[in-house]
Amino acid sequence: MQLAFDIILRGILSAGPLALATLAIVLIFRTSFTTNFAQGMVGTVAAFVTTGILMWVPDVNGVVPDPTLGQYVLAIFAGMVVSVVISALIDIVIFRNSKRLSPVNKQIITMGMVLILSGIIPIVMGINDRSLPRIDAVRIGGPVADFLLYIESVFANIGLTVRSYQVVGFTISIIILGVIFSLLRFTKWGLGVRATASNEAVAGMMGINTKLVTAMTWAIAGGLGAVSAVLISSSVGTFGNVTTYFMTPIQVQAFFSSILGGFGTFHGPIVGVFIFNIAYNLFSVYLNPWGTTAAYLFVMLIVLIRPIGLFGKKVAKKV
Amino acid sequence: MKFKEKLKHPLAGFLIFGVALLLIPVLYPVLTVTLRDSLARTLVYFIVALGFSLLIGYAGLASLGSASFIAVGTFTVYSVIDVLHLPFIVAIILGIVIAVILGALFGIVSLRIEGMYLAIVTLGLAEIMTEIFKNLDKFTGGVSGTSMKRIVMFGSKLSDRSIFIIIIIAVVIAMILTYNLINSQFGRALLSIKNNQSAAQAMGISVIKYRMIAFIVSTVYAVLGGILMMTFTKYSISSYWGLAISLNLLAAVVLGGSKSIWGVLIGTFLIFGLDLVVFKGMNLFSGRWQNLSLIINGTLIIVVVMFYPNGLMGLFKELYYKFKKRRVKKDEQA
Repeated sequence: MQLAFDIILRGILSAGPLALATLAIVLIFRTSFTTNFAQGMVGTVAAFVTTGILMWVPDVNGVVPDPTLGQYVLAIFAGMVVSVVISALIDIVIFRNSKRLSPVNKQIITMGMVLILSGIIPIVMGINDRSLPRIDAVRIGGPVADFLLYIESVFANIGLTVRSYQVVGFTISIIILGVIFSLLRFTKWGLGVRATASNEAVAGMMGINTKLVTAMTWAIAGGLGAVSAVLISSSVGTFGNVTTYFMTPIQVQAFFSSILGGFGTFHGPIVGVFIFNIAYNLFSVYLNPWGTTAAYLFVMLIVLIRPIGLFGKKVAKKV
Repeated sequence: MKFKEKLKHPLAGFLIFGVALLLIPVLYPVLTVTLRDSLARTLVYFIVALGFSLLIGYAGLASLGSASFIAVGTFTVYSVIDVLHLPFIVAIILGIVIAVILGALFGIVSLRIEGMYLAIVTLGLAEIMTEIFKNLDKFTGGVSGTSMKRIVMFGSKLSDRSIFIIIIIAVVIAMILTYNLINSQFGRALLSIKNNQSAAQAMGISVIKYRMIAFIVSTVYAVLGGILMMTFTKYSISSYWGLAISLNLLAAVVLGGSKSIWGVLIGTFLIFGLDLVVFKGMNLFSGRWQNLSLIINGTLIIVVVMFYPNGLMGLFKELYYKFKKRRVKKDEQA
């Protein structure tokens, strides 16, 4: 039983960064009406930029870079800027001009972006493995580190293992999720997104600059992808955690979480992430080595019964 | 005159193409090893892409599972011959059986989950397949991959050249089969479902039946392609058959024109041939430039989807008619 609680707790904590990736996919889905397959790749670019700034020439002996907190934060911001620009450019250059395409064709375009980005990354960054260090108590230091260690000891007292980098990743993710949801609720951009999501043409007629709203959404999604990619790759902690395709399984998990929660709402996929990630962690321990298979089949079964997802709204189809 | 008319028959074109391909095994001693390998791979990818064009061009279903189906083929032939020590024909039969089951499974999923969700779910199914390959290491070699001995047929070991001839025969058969499928009731039914599902259903076309068949046929093509691939290259590793290959197959079909057999051929040679024959085969780009072809493929696919929805074949047709019109006008003026 102790083990089960341990796994569930781990599932909740690691769902944080995954939720950011999922929210990015849902935001783009609501404004551009397609599932962005390039989302993971955009995040990967940010992770590469971050590790490239920390250590331009990767170490052949497998030494992970060891920056101070300030350097690390600056590098992450640089990575975010790059992915925000790439993401916004994808919208401005490509998607603004392909509104009339069918959703499947738009999807194919984002798959083309995956090919382009995965070709560019080795040209710019080389083919050697790269890595990002963990953002844990030791790296942060000061009173925050003491607080993190205190949390670790509190959980250790009741017999649960929690690592400081997990807490950091979870906290950052929850704060960002809170910010994005309040932006959606209380700002003009949020209103624009919700209006565009319900009907783009009418939103445009009501004076909403849908072009700007969509471009901003893509930019924000790029930033979210960057943070989630950095958090997820750094939490692995070992050498070689940043590779060209490391976000592919994460992206599939994010997609499956969105399907599970239903693409129709903003909160549904986030709840879906937590359910999926807890189930995934439980399956990977108790059904080892068939964890991934079991988790995906679990989602597929639910979707076969309820194609709109757990929280989706049924859309009436006109013939 | 009669002979000329016969040449105009579409099937004749496929046969002529097959005969032209036979030049490769004839010229075999002149070609380098990498070039032979690249040509064989490209031809096998062409077979797989033909099956995939049924799915995406005629049924409108974007699936990302094709690479894992090829992998199934490669591991099937390895397990049958090297693990179970059974003859080659058993591998083909077993491959078809597995393909039918897998295709039916994917087909069932596609009935409930439509449009753009399908790509996501098939991507998930592909991830599941990857895990299965990793865990069944007795049959797939697990994470380190597996290599195969030469196949014995009619009492002697098959040479690379004869395998190449088998691949060419398979290509011609696949082309003829695909042509017949898309020009039959099956192809028309699929197109009608793609264009308007409700109308098709109202006309009495069973969506379940035709989507299922489309998935099964394309899976059989991919698995048989995998079997041919393995008999030629003799090495397969599960990590190779990832998202990039599936995306490249999609690119090949969309680029050339998903509704035309010749279009698929052009697409496959542009996407795979260019990379395998020109870039990798001639060692033009290596190291960090190794994935340059991915950038070209990605750009091509985006441009084609945005501006030429019927692919390069559609573009050629458009240009041809424009040219013809101009000529007719000139003739009238004269």
